[in-house]
Amino acid sequence: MGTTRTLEEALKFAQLECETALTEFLGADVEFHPVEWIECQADELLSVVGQFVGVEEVYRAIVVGVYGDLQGYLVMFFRIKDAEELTTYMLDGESDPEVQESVLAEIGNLTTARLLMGFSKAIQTNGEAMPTPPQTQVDFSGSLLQSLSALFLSQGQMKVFHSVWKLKVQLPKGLINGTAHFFLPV
Amino acid sequence: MALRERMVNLGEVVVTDDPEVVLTVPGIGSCIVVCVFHSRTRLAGMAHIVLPSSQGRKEASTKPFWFADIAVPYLIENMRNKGAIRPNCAIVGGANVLNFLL
Repeated sequence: MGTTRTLEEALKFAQLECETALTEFLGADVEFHPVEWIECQADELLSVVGQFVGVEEVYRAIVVGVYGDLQGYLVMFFRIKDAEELTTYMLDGESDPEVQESVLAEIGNLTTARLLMGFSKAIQTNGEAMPTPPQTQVDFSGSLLQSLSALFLSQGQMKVFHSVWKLKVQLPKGLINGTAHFFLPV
Repeated sequence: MALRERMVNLGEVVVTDDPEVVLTVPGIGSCIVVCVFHSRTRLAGMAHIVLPSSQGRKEASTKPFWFADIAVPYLIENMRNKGAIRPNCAIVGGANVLNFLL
C-alpha cells in the first residue's frame, strides 16, 4: 500500500465514481465530500469517528468488508429517519422492511464497488479486491465501532487509515445526510 | 447530588467509591464489559474487555486490560484490596455484530 498522498488520490477517483453511481441509482443529486486520510490507533476508532457521528445515538448502518489486494471495511451511517426517507423515496412508498433493507444494501454495494474502482485507477494492483455482501443493522454507532476495533485488534492490526466522506442526497422533500467511513488497516 | 459520567474506554478498568460517578460505556458490541458492585463498601468497578486471552500477544505489556485473563483478576483483586469481597457482578456484551466478517 502506498502513502497517504496515494490514498488521497485514490479517494478523489473513488469520490467521482461513487457520486456518479449513486446519482444514477437514486435518481437524485448525490455529493460526497471526502476528508483527508487520518492514521489512527485501532482502539481509537470510537473517538476518531465520534467527531462525525454521535457514538451514543442509534443509526442505520451499512457495513461492507473488502478482501484481497485491498483489505478494509466500509461503514455508512444514516440517521434512522433519513434512511427511512431515502428508502421511501426509492420505493415510492413501499414499506416492506426487507425491500427497504435491500435498497440500503444496494447503496453499500454500489459505494464499495465504485470505491474499489476508484482505488484500482489510482493504485496499480495485480489481483483484485472482493467486497463481502453488505450487512445492514440498526444499532448504536459506538457498538459497531467498538466491535470493529476489537476485530482489528484480534487480527493484530494496531493502526488504521480512516477516511470519512460526508454524504448529501438531495431529495424533493429535503436533504438527506449520512457519512461513509472507510477503514484500511496499515 | 450531581452525577457525573465516567466513560470506561476500550481496555480500561475503573474502580470507584465516588457516589456521584456513573461508569458508562458508549456501545459495547462484541466487547465484554464486567460490572461489579459491592453494597457494603459502596464500591463499583467496570472492566471494558476487548479480547479473551493475552497468551502470545505482545500488546499485553502495554495494553494489559484489553485481555480478559488480565483485566478480570485485576478488577476483582482491586475490589478486594479495598474491602469489597465477593461483589455482585453483571457481564454484558459479546454481541455478534459483524457476523459476516467472522
